Amino acid sequence: MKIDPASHVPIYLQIAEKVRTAVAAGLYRPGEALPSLRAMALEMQVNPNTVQRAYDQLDREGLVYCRRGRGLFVAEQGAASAQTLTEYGVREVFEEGVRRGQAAGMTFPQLRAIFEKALQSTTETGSRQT
Amino acid sequence: MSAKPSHGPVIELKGLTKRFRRTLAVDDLSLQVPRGSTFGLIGPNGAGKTTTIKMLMGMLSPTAGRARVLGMDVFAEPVRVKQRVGYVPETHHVHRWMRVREAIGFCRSMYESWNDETCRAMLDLFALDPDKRVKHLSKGMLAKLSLLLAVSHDPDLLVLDEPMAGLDPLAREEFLDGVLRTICDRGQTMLFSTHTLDDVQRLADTVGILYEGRLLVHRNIEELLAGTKRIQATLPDGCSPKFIPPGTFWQRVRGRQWLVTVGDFSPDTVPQIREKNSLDHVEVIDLGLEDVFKDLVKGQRAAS
Amino acid sequence: MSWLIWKEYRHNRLIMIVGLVLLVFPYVVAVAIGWITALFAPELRGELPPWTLRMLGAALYSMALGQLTLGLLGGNAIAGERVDRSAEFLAYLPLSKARILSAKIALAAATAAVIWLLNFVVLLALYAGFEEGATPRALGNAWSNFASIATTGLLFFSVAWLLSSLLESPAVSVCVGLITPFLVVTALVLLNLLLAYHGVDGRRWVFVSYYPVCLVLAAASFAAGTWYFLRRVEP
Repeated sequence: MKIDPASHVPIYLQIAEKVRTAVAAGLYRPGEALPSLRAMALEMQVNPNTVQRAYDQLDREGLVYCRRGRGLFVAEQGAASAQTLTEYGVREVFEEGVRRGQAAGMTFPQLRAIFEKALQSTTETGSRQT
Repeated sequence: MSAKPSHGPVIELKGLTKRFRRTLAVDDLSLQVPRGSTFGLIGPNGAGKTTTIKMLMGMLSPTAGRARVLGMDVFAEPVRVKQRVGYVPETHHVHRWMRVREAIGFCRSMYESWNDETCRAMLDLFALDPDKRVKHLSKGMLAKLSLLLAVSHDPDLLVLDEPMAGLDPLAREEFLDGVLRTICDRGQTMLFSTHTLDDVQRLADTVGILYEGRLLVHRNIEELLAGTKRIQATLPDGCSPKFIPPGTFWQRVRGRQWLVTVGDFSPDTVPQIREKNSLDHVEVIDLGLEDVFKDLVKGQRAAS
Repeated sequence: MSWLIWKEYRHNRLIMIVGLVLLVFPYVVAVAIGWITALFAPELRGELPPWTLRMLGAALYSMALGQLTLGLLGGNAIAGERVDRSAEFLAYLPLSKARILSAKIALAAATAAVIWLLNFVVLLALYAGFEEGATPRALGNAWSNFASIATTGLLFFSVAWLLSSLLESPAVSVCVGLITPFLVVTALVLLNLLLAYHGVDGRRWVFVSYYPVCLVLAAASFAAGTWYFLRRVEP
């Protein structure tokens, strides 16, 4: 697992993302411990403070919980993470689009219309529908 | 064993100035580095990074100003300060005829707090040959030896001056690993200067950007990146921007396109700019540290 | 401290080895001449000075060459670590300048002691070997020669030390140290001429003043060099 320091995404968020992906992929099951701060810091080659921030973020999201003195463990809802992860990722992209549109001065009706168009074009090109 | 202050900044520079004949290498520099944090000092060549570090290590006397490290004045109590500080310079000048084990033995005799275990662990980690002479060490191995010597006496503060300059990618990674291990294990405060912005993003909590001896930016790295955005806008025909927001690093007008990098970005910034300059199309671009740095320097150059 | 002295010795090892050779070489020559003559040209035996005088000459030569060693040591003492920038390495270790300097002084003092003592003892032994009243004139002069060589050496060392403290070049320091005794002599000669011009015959005291002049200059240079090094912040 490597992070990209040149990316515009803050490093702690990149780390949180990587952990989420790992949990969704079943690398860490509910009840299992996440790598220690030290191990993660050394693997990612980042300051342990940054790893702490990432873990705090995951704790806030509810993906992990902290057992005092023992570290962080994957929460039960980790099992449903796959879905959450995808939803989360998609939502992020949508929100980014909304932000850009707002910055360019678009209104919500305009944005909604663009969204509908995007859905349509995806259906037309024959992508799978769930 | 002297008592060390348990609170207060680890590094405190106040009005530090250094003049070399006609050049002002460091101009009224003030900064504080709190305990446990990592401070990355960046700047173009000749900005005064090495001069600043030499002054805070007591190796260069300032023209004006004060430098306190671990609560002690660096020039009044240099030996006491150095007992608690590990220093890794850009070019390592260990006596070239010394063997690795001799260099270790030599340094070991100087420090009260030398930790043999740490030293042995580092020696194994870096796979340094104890019998090799310093003059036969590659650049990467010399850098690692320098780090070993700096870290083996359990310092409270680590100061690194462009520590990974000129190292090949593998040596870089190994060196970085060594630095991270010591931070994870001992939680030292660290100040380092570098050209490689990657390193700053990986390691630093706080970043300071030095330009022509002046500290232009001194902020938490996340805040800096969140608060610095480049705005791309289309100007109405024949107009030049009337309102430039305060805290602007750099701006450029080319044809109808106006690029402005703002340092204090807030939700009000875009509406403000759009309104006061009667703009239609405005786009906000996120910046990485490299872009922030470049825009800041470009802006300074344009201003002078 | 022992590591520090080891470092000083090791850093100046070449000078020490050269010094050892210069110390011993005149004696080797003095002895060898005797053997070579005995082996290959026994008929020239009578033309050789007696071995006591040969040893005397060797002692004085050894003493003189030894001052060269001291001068090299003085010139290399501080500037030698600036030239390869290893002084910067010492600068970030918790070493006071005083400690660094005392190791250098210790090494120089030890070297001087060996050179002076060895030759002094040889002269003493030679002296003791003669019956009273039979001391050749050469041996009588030997003591004053010994003293003037030692004084010159001290001046050489101290001036080289001062420049070593101020500069970054061991070579320049040694050279300036080397010419200083000559400058002193020249000054004294000129002084004597000046006095003679005015009708005063100062020959005796002018040339005897060589000793105090050298010693004062040496002490002042050494003190100045030491003081400057201790005060200077840059390595």
